[in-house]
Amino acid sequence: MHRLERHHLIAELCAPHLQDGQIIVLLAGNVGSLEFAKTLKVKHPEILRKKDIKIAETEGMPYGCRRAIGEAMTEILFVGQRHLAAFPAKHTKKVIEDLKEVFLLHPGRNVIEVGLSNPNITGHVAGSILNTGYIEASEGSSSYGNKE
Amino acid sequence: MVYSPRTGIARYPLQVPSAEECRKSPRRWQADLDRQRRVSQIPATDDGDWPGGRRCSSPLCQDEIDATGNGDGCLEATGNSGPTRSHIIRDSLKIALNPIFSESQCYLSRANLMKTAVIGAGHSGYTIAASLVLSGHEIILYDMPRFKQNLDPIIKRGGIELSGVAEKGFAKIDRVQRIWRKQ
Repeated sequence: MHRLERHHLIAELCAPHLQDGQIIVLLAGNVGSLEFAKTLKVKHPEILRKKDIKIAETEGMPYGCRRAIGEAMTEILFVGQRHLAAFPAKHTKKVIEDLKEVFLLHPGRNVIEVGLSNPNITGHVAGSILNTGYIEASEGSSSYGNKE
Repeated sequence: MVYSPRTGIARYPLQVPSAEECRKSPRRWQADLDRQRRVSQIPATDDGDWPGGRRCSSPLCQDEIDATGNGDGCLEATGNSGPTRSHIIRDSLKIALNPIFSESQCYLSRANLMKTAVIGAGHSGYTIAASLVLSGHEIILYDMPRFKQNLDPIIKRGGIELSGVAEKGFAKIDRVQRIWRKQ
C-alpha cells in the first residue's frame, strides 16, 4: 500500500549531520519513520545511542497545497488538523509540545495507526481516476492536479 | 479558539471578509487590512492602524528597535536573522484580538522560533518552507540535484510567493541547497 523508496536514502544522507536534540518529522510519514529509524539503527547505531534524536511522522500534510510548476509560487487550498506519532511512541507528547507553535497536531497512538490514516491513499486515487482522460491525453506529461 | 490557520493559537479570521462583513465588524476589517499589507508589503505608518491600536512590545521587539535605531525597527525587520514582519503582525494580532494573551506569552512565542531543514522542494516542501518563513522561522530548503528545476525558480526570485486560504505573502528564502552528493 505504501511506497518507501527514498526514506532510507534520505536517512543515510541526513545521518552525518544530525545533532543532539533535533526532531525529524516526516510530512506525510506513510510509516516511513520505521524505515528511517531502521536505517539509523543499522548503519549509524552510534547516532541513536549518543544523541537525543526524535523521529516522528504525521498522517498527512497540515494543509492541502498546490505549487505552480516552473514558478516560485504555491497556494494553500485548505488547512487541516493532523495526527502525529513518534517512534517510539513515548516521544509523541514531547514532539507535539515542541511543534505546537508550528502546526496544529493531535497525538496518534503509534506510527502505524498514523501512517495508515493518511487520507491521500483514498483521496488521490479517486481524483486520479476521475481525471484519467486528462492524464492520458497529456501522454504522461501532466498528472492529476497539475496543469502545465 | 483559532488564531493561526496552522497552529490555532489565537483568534484570527481564516477567510478574507467581504466588504459587507467589514462594515459590520471593524475588528475583522482591521485584520484584513493587515493581510493586505503583508501581501503588498506596505509598512504600517502609525499605531492607530494596528488592530487594537497596539504594537507588540515584547523585549525582542525592543531590541530590534534599538538595533535599527529608527524607532520603528521591529515593524520593518525582515530576513531570517530576526523576527519577520509577518511575525510582528502575528504577535500584535495575538495581543490585540485575544485578551488572554499577555506580552510575556508573546515573548515566549518569539523565543521558540526554530531552525528547520525542509527536505524536498515539491508541492509540500514549497508550502512548508514559505509558511515557516512567513511565521518567522529560519529554514534551509534542500533537494536532490536531479530535481534542481524545482529550486531554480526560488533561486531566481529569491523566495516563494504564498497565497491561498491561510498565510499570504512573499517568503524570502536565503538558503537553498541542492547538492548533497554526486549521484
